[in-house]
Amino acid sequence: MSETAPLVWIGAAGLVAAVLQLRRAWGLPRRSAAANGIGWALMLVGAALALAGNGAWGLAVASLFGMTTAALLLAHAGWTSPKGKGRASDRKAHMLPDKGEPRRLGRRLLTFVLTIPLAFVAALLAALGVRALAGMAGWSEADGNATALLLLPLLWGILAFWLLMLPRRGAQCALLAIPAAAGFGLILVGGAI
Amino acid sequence: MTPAISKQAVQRALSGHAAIGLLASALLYLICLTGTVVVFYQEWQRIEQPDAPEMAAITPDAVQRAVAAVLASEKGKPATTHLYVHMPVDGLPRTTITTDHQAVHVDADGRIAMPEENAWSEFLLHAHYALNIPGLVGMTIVGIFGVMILALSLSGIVAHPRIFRDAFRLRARDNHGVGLADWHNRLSVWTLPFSLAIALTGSMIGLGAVGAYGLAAAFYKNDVEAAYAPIFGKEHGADASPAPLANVSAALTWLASNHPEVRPTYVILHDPQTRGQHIQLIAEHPRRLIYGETYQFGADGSYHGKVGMSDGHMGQQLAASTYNLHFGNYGGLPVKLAYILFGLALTVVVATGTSIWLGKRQRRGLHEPRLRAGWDGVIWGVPIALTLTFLARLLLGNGAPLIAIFWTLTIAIPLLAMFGRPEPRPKRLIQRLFVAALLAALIVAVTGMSMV
Repeated sequence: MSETAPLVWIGAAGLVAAVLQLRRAWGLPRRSAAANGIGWALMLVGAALALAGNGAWGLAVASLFGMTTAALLLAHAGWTSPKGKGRASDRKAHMLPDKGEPRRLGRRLLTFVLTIPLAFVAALLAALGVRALAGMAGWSEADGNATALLLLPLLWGILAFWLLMLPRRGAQCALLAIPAAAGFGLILVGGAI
Repeated sequence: MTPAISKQAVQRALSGHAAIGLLASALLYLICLTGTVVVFYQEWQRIEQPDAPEMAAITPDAVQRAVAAVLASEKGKPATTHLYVHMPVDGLPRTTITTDHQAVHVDADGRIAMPEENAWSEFLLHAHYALNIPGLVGMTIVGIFGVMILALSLSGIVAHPRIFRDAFRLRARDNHGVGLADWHNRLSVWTLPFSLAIALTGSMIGLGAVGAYGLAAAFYKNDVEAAYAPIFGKEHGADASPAPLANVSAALTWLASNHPEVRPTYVILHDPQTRGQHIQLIAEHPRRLIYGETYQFGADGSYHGKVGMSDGHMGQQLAASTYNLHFGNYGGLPVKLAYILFGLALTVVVATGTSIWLGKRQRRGLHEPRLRAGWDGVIWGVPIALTLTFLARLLLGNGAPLIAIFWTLTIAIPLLAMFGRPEPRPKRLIQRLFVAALLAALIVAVTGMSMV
């Protein structure tokens, strides 16, 4: 790393300072928007400088400095924390039924089908739809294909999370149908099939 | 930070978080743990076969001699379609040639030294990449677990509205689940950039084949190679009629004189000793996340251009960056150590997630010793299985049945804990077994004991 751009080191220092500032800001007795803002601003500036210095490599290296600083602060917090008497959360996650509760296996199975296979199909169609749109917009094949390969897991993860946040089946079906239909339509217009 | 998220949304996020986490827990834990250990993939290979010849560099002429020697040793066998030369790099300063039939180390003069014996490193990599399932199925399954980490990260943030505000509070000495929850939440927050990067790149790699099939079906008349070609370049047409061996030395010499700043990591010779043969050199570019640029040469060593991973389309650079970003091999030992630290943190997050859920149920009066014992069996059984496979490799040699040993133990230990001795809680016993296995492996590795 002998020829690393100075901006990467400055960016890394910015990220370290950002974590230290956030540590200070979040430890204040009252919330301070200014103190928080300085922390987040330092993080943004640090990341931008590292990116400007050596591109994605610079950003990746600098971010490791920020995370390592946080890990050291956490280690210190864990080491110095007194033995407490705090009561742990008992919030129910509703994953398994308690005694006497119905199992609702059908409902659980349907949720699984919606979140895993169907969300995958919707994400794939949407990603391919974006690829078709990219082709129509004049993007290169490399950019279009790589975008589709990136979007497939990203959209699937977002859909899986979002589906579990929706209380009604109708809304869940709509959330899957809209990107799937849009993607399929775009493939028909801009694809080879 | 107190974001405006309703109580209902928080509760739904917690339910979703638990549902995904519990569904994925055991295999996700295994993938995270093997991923952490495999960061030292190069170092493990050196430990496995310490007497293989090492060199800081090898001359182009020595590589040419080595390629010729390896191909000569395969006379009478079906012609290899590809020949790969692993060039010496800082993490693994060895020259190794792999064909369709064998893999051998060569010395600095280009003489064949010995067969490559890195079965444990390969097993470990394959366990992480594909759960040791052959073909694309295993990789795809692992890719799905990457997607699960993405969904878990999102739901975890929404389910814990104070997660950022409390980001530096670690009540490590609290009992009754507080300490466990703090470890889980704090490590999750501070490894979030790492976890998201690992999950996204891992799922891109794992689901790449499925995505490529989709692209091929929609845009390339089911031709999968055509879907990959705009990113990674296309294969040349083959011509099987015999020809003298390609001039690998000339290609390496050209690269050294025209691009002294890059370092060749692989030589790939396609269809050697045929008229269709051609050479590709993959070379590392300093301070880049890409795994390398592919420089293409004809059989006579004449330069034919590069694919564009380093300076071509943004999509090519993005795709080429996923591997190094995922495996942490873009900055030498310091970056590897950071990846070990954060990988271990992610593994702890996965392990504590299920433990927190079990603890909550216990505090609500649900007595489930089998579930608890089974999870103890997973958390400590997987490291035991990994350590014992390593021990088997050292004692029994490169042909030890590593996959069978690993998966038998990984499945048997939790089952034994659940049904053999769920009470008193078997955690301590399994931990002791792990320490014993670790010590045994360490002693055997240091003393060089072997049964073959």
